[in-house]
Amino acid sequence: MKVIRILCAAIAAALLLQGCEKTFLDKQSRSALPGEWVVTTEEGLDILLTGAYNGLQNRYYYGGILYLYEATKGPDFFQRNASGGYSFYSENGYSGGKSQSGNCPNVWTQIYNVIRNTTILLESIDDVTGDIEHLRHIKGEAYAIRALCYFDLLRLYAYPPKFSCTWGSDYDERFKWGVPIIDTMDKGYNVLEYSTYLDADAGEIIVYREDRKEDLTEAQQALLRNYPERIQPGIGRNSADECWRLVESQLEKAWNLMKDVTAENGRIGAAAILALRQRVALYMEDYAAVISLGEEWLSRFESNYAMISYDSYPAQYYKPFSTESIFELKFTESDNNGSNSINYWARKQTYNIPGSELDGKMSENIGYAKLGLTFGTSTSGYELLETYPLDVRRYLICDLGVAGTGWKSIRRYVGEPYHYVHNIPLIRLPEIYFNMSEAFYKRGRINEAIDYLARVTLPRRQEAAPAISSVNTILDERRREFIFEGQTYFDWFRNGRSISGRPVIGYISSSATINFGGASNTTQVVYPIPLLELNANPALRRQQNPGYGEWEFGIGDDETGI
Amino acid sequence: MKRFLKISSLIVMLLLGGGICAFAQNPLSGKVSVSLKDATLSDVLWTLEAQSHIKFMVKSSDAASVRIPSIDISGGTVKQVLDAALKGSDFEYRVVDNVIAISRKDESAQQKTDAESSRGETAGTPDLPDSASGIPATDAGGKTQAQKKSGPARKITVHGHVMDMGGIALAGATIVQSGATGNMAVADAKGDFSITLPEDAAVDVMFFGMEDQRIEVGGRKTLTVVMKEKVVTLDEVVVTGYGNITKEAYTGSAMTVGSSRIEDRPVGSFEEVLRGNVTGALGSTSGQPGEAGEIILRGFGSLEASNQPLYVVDGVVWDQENVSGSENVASNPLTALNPSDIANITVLKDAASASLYGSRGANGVIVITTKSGNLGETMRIDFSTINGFATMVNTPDIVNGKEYAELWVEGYMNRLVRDALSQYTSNSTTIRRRLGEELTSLYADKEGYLFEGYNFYQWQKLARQEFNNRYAIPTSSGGYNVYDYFGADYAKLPSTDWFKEISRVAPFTKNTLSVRGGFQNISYYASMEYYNQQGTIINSSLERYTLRTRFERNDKDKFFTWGVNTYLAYTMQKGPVAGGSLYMSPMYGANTLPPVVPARLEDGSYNLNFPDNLLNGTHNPLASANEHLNLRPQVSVTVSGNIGFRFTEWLRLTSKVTMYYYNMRRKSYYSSYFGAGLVSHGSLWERSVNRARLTNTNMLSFDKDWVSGHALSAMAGVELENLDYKFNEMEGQGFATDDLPYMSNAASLASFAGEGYSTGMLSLITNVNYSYQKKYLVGASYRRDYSSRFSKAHRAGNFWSVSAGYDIAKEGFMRKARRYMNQLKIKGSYGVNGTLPSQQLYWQNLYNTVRYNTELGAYNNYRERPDLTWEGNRIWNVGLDAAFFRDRLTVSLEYFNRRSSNMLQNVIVSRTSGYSTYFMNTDAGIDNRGLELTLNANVLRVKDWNWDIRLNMSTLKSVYYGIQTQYYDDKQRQLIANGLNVHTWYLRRFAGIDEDTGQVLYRHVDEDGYEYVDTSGGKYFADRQGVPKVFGGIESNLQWGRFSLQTLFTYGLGHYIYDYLGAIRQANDGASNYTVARSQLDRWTPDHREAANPLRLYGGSLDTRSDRYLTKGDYIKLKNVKLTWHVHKALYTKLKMTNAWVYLQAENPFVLCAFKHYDPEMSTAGYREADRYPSACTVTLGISVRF
Repeated sequence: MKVIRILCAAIAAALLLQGCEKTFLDKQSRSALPGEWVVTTEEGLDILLTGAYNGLQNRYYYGGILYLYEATKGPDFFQRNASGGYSFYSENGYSGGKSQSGNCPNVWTQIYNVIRNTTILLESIDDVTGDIEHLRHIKGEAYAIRALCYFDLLRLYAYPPKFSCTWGSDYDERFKWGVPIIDTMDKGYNVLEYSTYLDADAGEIIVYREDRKEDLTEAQQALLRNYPERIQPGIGRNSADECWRLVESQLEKAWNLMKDVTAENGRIGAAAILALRQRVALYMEDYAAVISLGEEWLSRFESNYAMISYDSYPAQYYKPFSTESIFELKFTESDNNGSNSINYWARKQTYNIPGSELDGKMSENIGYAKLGLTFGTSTSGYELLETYPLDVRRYLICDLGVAGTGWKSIRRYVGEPYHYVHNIPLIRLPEIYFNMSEAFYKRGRINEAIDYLARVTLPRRQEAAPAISSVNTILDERRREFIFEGQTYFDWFRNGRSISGRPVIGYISSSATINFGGASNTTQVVYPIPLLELNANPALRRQQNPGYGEWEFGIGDDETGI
Repeated sequence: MKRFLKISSLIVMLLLGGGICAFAQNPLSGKVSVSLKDATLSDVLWTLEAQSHIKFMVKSSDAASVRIPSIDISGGTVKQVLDAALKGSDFEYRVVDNVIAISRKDESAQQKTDAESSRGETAGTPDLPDSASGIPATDAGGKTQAQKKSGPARKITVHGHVMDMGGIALAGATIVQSGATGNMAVADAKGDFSITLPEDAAVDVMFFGMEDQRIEVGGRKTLTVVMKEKVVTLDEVVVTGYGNITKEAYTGSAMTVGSSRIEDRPVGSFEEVLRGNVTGALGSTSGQPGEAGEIILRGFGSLEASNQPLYVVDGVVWDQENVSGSENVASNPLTALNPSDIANITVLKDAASASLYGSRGANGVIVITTKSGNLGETMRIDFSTINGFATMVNTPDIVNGKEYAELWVEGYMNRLVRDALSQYTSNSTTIRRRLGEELTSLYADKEGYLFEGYNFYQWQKLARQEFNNRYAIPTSSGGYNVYDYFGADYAKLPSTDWFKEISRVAPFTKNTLSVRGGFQNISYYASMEYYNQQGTIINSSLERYTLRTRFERNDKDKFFTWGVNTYLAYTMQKGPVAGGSLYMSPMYGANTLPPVVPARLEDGSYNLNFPDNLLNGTHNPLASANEHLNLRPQVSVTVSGNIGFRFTEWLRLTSKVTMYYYNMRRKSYYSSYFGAGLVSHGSLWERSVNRARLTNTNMLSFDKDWVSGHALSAMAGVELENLDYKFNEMEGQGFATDDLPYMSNAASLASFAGEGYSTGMLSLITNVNYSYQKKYLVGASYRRDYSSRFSKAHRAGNFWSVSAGYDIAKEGFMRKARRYMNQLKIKGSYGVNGTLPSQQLYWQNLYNTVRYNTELGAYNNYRERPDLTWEGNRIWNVGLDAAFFRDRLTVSLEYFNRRSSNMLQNVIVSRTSGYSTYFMNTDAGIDNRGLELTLNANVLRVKDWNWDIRLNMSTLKSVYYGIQTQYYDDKQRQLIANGLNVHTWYLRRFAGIDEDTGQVLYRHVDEDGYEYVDTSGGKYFADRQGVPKVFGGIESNLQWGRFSLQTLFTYGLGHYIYDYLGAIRQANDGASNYTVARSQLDRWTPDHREAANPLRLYGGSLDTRSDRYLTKGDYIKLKNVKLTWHVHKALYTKLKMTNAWVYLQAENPFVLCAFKHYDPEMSTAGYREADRYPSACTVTLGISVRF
């Protein structure tokens, strides 16, 4: 009897055990999508691409830091020393090479994060079957986004081609490095499986996988054998030449795939890609290309866009997807950066009622009010915008919202219905004209340069373009148009135009003059390669940007001294 | 010796009918009829009881073990029935005081032998018992020899009364002449007894659950015996969750906290009582009612997975996970447990105990057993009400308005002078030197010396004007009133005490009603609780309703047993947001805002316009506390059923199914007119979480003691567990009115989400314990877990332990010593257990969904790790348990080495991958070592006095090894590197203030080893730690008659506290607009050069990574003090009660620490934070009555 009972129990237990392991230990995710599905189906790749757009929206990229960085480094704004929000004190004041403070580590990570999405997509898409047209467009957009990412990495962590590329007009080999090119995810995931041969003097760099040395040429293998001291684990920075060529070629691939695509709002289409190609050519000082690409753009797309009319400007300039918008990121109420948004960070909420007495005054005590419009000198932002009485862009000037001061700011972004919900433009129609104007000017074709400049000045202040005394005339017009749109600082930098500091008490004065001129250009102008990256990727340690100290393990210092 | 009586704690009293006082005649002569077949003695006794109201005393296992194939007596006497029932068995019976005692014959013989050997010739000589009934023991066979040893002492009859500390009569207490076990008496229903014995003899008085007492008669004719509840004995049971084992036979490391130390404490959640009461436990908590207390046992195992122990309530793993979706408004599922329902908490620390929990046992296991009734216990109703109040304690010491104005003006003036200097040079060293010089000159000749055309007063005036402007008082119409605070409007300068503004005296209430008891084979327990603890910050509280019922049918003779246990709780936790980045935290606001900012405007409305954008201008902490809602209601239901099959006396199968379900909701509403809700015109966040855990445990257990002294217990079983977790959340914004914070009234959705996960585990569990004469003990356990959190190839893990013990005191050669030392056990264990990753599916390649432009997007936010596996944990434990003077002094000393391996880490990787870290197992780990001492002593036991002291002390050294790349903690003040202790500070050396310039100096060491100081940063040192090196608790219980005074101290030594709050806010000389700690008044000025703090410089240096902010953390804290008065019997019997007592207690009344104005138990890492809810001192008055 007992034996039978025990036996029964044992059998029951054994059965229970057998049955359960299989069924209830295999758990599926309830929110995340299986990677296998994402990279093997058309739908999955489409979703992956949308994920890349979402990455552009991140607050450490276009959603925030990129434009805020430009604003604090450029000539238009001063940074108010007030509690809360981002601190940009350190953007021009990293101490030594040790800092991981500031935003530079997160920006680095975020941009490479978007690169990862697009690289995974591009590595998988050729094996996926489906609607060929659709797949072709997905591929084109991915190329374009990846090119944009490298373009931005180069703007933030390297010097512009003028200084960094061997063909640049002010080339100096101290600035020759670009950024690490991660063209396969094998590289990104297994950085330490790779090694980098670096001959700094010759600018020679060979990145190879340790277990695939045989793929290298005989000459390269000989170098590795002869100069083992030049080898470091990890993946080093490629030369600026290679990097800019990469951006150029990726955009060209995108163009070839996307030529015929009119994008939905918020996405990159043919017009945006061609405009980007033009912008990149401008940075690369390839003015002939700027002109030819511009002309192609105008012939293909100009009819689809229009400058906002003078009269409707105050009511229209900030609206989502205006007639000028070639590519802009869309933010919705359930998809925004909240108190980390650009607008929240820059200024307080204002009344925006053209003609009203209250217009431009603070309406709600919402926002950090960190960015004030510079004033007091002829190159200050306020004075620049006020130059022409008829300039409709004067409307952009509003109160910063700090009681007891007359400080002004810019209402480039007007959130509706909430202060912090607003789209972010990446490319607008006037840029095509400015690019053309600058390229023509630099090619010595002043008349065309003035013509194209007038295409902006007319609708904005109902008058023809001024006489162009130097490239700065064009840059100043461009600055008025693109104030707080992430352009001016980079425009000045790529032209070698200096920016002077603004010592006024009450806001941070430590960001002194940034002088981009040749030999003196060894201070901390661009971001450092982040310390945490140097810790994890030794090959980069010998390639830190000028002005930053030797790599050394640490967290970096707080600002010290007084 | 007296084993029959000593085992009283195992005796089940069959209190039959209850009316034993009614007996006058011989209980053996009552007429009864019994007819049973295939029965046990137990059945026979129950039958007799039903007919004759006789009280029997018998060990329940004995009663169940005597098999009676058949008995049939009609109209016979009790004596006849008993004679027939016990015929042929090795049991005998005798009558003492109307009670029929049944015991094993050989036990009586054994008792006698023991008595002889231990008492020897000094023993008093017993005589034939002369009990009240006059009836001698029926069987005196074993005792005749003892009688023959009679000595010459005169015999007297002593009358006595036995009661407990509360004065309640202890009916059934056994009184036995010391050394003469045959001579005994039992107290009647009134607690009275009489016994005849030699006048110089002593009596041992025993009662279930009470400590044995020996009293010298000394010729007295009357005795009053007050017994006290047993606090510690070797009979104490160690509950492993999969079975029980007596502490005497236990070879692992475990500690038990009884209900007396839990139930009356005014704490919302039971974790709070562990610190100080449990050797080796570190913990932290705050003043937020019901906050999830952090408990760390025996050091740290993990960097990324949890370091919290596993909580097991009545055999079911309880959640401790915060599922509120936010660290800053955490939920605590453990608050659902009413601490008064806890019978005991057993803390399992070593491998021998915790490896039974396999992959979840690495951080120790806290096994909680709730109360239940006892078979045969008369119904008892307990009611207690505890009421009191709490006040906020240990808040920072902050300057008043005048002092703040003085410091601010000074700092601003220094800034003006400094900026004027910067036109001459940009060299900061030169500027520093020049600033010191200029200030010195300005101070020396305040009127005459001019710098840049201004004298001291003119510079000061500039700064004062700025102060007047900056701190102009906002008006309700949106303007400002600018006052001259340094002149005519001197009195208008505000001096706000922000902590006073947001805090209050908070009431406390706890009412508990419970019923317990038992019938012949069913025991029951039911309880209800209402708990309402208000927090010392406005609008924070914990409210709770609990209902618990438990039934157990436990008939040892039946094949089948069953039980049900249900637990319902509703808790509502309210409380402010923590987290400094969220300005809406009232604590953070109070720690930030200067006293010169008014809390309210002249019309009584909140001040929502702070100067210089402080707290974003509008986050008034008083308004945040009053107006924002932060609700965390929880409903928790635990239903558990068990059935048992008893195949034989020694083999059983039990199967238990438990459904543990809870629903947690979080509702946060931020008002539309200020702070967090202003931006979005009112913001409502709602989250609803459902968790359901289904557990099925099937255990086959073998349990057999052989007469020869061998004992073997073993078990094997299967456990299945499935947890299902789901949540929905959404955030709405744009509210027309703050009065209706419901989602339907939101204009738009700001965010929404809904998902969850399911996780499963299948476990095979085995355990064997063998002992011989409780002298040699060995044990082993093995568990195999299969978890859904790993890929198929890595799903199974093996966990095991071996242990052994040896009680030297039980050896024959120790016989003499046994008089003083009744236990001397050495023990050791070794084993392996583990920690699961908190991440559910990180082994899979998954893409998280995101949204862009109302389309679905995806990206993979972590790298899949198919080879992910458990974090391992190996524990050595060796120990010595000793008990002296019949447990009056017990000492336990243990050494442990706990080494985690295969550590789960977020390894820093190249960010070109788009990740900053990968989650993976690495070769790193933490090596924890420590010594633990537990000492319990009954220091004093004379007449009405009794004093018990318990002391525990632990040392801890937790060292990292195998870390590939050293790195910093989140706050970048501690270094994580090989060879360093967990939480080691990595800071520069502060070397005082430069007397000439007022700058901070640092200590440096040059290449030749010479020390020097200067103002540059200097080297970092990692030589001090944030975790105490030695810590523990001291508990004292002093009783005097009807009064008792209990105190509990906790202490920690050898660690340092980093004032993070000071560094970033209150004690930072450059932090311009924040409030200032009073310590900063001692700052450098040209008139006061030997200062503790540098010169104040508005917007100046931010030196925070130096040991300037580090202070010794040594502390002792009075955690609880309680004074109890046991009400006079006369008083409560009039009120029909059987007992009553009143107690006054204070929780957290006092702390002594080198670091002032801080409660060092707020953090286990050593940081003093800016956003923690300050601790509270709660004073309560409790009344407990029993019916």
